[in-house]
Amino acid sequence: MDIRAILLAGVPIDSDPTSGEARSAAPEAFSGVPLSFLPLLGCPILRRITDRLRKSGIDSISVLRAAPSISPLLEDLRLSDPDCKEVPGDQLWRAAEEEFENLVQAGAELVILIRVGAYAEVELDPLIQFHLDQRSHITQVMAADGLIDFFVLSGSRRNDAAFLLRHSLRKTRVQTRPFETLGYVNRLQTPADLRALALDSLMKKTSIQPLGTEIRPGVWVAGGARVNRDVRLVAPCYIGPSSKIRAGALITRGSSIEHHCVVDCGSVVEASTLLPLSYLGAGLDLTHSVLGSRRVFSVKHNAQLEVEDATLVSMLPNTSALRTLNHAANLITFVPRQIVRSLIGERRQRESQVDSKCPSPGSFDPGAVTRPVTQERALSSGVVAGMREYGNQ
Amino acid sequence: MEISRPVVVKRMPEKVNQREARKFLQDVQPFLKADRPQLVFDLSLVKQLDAAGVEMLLHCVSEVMKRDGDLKLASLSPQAAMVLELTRTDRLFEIYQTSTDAARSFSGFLPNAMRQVPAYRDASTPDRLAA
Repeated sequence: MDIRAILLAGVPIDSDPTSGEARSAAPEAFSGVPLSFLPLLGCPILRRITDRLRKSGIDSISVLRAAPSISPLLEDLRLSDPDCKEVPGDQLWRAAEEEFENLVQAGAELVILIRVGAYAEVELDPLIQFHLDQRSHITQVMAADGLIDFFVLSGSRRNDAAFLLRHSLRKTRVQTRPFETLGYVNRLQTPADLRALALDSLMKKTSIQPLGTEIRPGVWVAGGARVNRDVRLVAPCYIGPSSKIRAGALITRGSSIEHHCVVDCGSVVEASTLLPLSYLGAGLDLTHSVLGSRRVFSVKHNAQLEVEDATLVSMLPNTSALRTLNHAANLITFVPRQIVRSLIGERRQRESQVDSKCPSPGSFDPGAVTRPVTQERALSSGVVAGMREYGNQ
Repeated sequence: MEISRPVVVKRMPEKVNQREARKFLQDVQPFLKADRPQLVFDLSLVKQLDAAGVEMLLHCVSEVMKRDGDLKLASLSPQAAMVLELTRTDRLFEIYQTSTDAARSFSGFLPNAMRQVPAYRDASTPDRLAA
């Protein structure tokens, strides 16, 4: 039987097909990038879905992707799947209709239509058997918590397919019985879902395999990653390619660090995801969060924060040439910066001793939290942080 | 019996960057220099708090501690709470849900008024991880 597939990616669930407007404040996105476009344990989620379909024996897969705004986070997707077609968001449904026509004309008897969307591990053989047994024109898949945008369409029923696509997968011409799947489903509606998917994958609840080497049970490190010997990696966790974990850091409780990230000295990453090219400053504590594009989404507070302060969080350049230049610039300015810092430090100490002027804030030293407290030091803010760290000693 | 010392409540601005932090510090400087100051900072409006803002808070608390006073935080916005957690400074302050609770806490311990930590627990985290 000739079965082909169409994947619609990056289309917001509430887009209005009649007006042709794709709403910009779409759910299922982080920092303006659809969650399915983001890498998870070394590979974009969209790529994982297409790979899964190919493994199930579907060779012809058309991926139609709504062109999102330019973001360095999309580079992985462009590199991993150069064949997918980018379509303007307002023309995606029309393009899907045309693609359906093309596939049917090329001989497809059944077409699997998926809006990504949710990450669903649906067994295709039982689904197709169910569709044929029911003699349905359209069969939709139902997960434990409701219907998902995963359909099987009969190639001979073009009108039904057109109706479905014109109503952006919200309506069918004829009510049919859905196929109930027991496979893993993650709706990927918020960054919290992305976090849950990463954790479930590390806990082997999904079929997603981290791209890397399992150096210890549950600890995956990809090629080119540089992990300092003083770093503690607690399983399960994943360190992506070319990432750098500096001394004293702790990566724990299902954290996933994608490629080209830097976790600076003494920072703790707990149950969090660092999207590609993220920099996490020294001495910080990132817990239950998704970090990327200088934004932090906290699962705990269900809030998103844009951080402008590059000493806390920043984004690294997305090309190796720019990264090299960045490193070179840091290297050249290292000594002058240390001199200036020591001069400012001396001045501050004098000010603190005479206690006359109001010091100017702005040179928060996160590294101070890891330093032990000495009696000689004045009670500066850095010392207070130190007291917190070593207060019980 | 000591009841007459005032509690000063100051609302922090929406954006606490280096410039705003300096301005805010100048505003509160007279209160910091008072004898045994009792201060409450209301962070309900704060949408952006950077390292300079955290530094300013730490400076304030150290000044207040020098004079045997206390500085408490109240009505933290999610953004402010996230930055304080990120920089590991949330543990340095008593944090209350409202400014009133924070002000009242100077005259007595209010265990129920402390900021409730959201009953968050990653549902998919297994027990051994959450332990």
